[in-house]
Amino acid sequence: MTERNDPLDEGLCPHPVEVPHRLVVAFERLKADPVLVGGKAVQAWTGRTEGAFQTFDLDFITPLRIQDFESVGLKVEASGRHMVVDGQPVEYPSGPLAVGDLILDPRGDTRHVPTVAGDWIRCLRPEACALDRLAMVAAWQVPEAFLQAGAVVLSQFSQLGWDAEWLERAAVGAGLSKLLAHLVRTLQLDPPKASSLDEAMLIGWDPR
Amino acid sequence: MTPLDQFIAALEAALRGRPSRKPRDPVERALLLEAGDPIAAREDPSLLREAGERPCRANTRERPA
Repeated sequence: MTERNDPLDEGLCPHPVEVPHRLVVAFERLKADPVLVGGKAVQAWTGRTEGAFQTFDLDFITPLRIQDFESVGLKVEASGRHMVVDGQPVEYPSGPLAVGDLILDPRGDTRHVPTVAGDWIRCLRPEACALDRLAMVAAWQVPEAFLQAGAVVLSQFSQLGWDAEWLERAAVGAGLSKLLAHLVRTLQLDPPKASSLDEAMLIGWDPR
Repeated sequence: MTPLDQFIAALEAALRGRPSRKPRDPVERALLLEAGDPIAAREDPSLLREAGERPCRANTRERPA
């Protein structure tokens, strides 16, 4: 990929994620620079792949039409939105890149992460990845998403590239500041309390 | 045990035995089950979402009583 930043220069600590090399090659041939989101982005920022972090699903936001991938030899499933590449289901959720109703910048709000195969791909920045999980809590009350959000914060907040001000500003913009405050309180508890999970499910979006 | 490990252990213990509440579109769920995804296997199959539906205010699900 061109325009790649060295993630070490970005002051973060991403972990290699399983992305088929064949898919990265297809992106390059299509001159696309899609953004990894969802559960695999959580894996990239936490290094955790077991239990609540397990996912087989690759989600990329891209302006490409999925049919474009057929021109580089990848087969599109009958759904018209999915592919299976080397056994891994790949989905292209509808864009734009966003957290809740907050539209993100596909360049400024992303970082590069390594793949297990030795490639690099663009990924939602960790602060946005945590908020993306909180959006799942607010909209769909998915408890494991609260756990994932906390794990992203705990894994990356001490890195130089972590931007706490960006996170707070984006949380306000996305309507997630109350949930973020609850998450921060939860992370400060020693030992952590399991009841924080049920409390999180009741918070929802910030009032308008 | 690191703070991250402690946090994960505490919340995973609370999650144990609960079905995942993640809604999926049926095609995605079928593909994941075929690939052997254990989380998809724990999901409540009645929790569905439209293809491409994102978590935002407009797509907010009613909270369980």
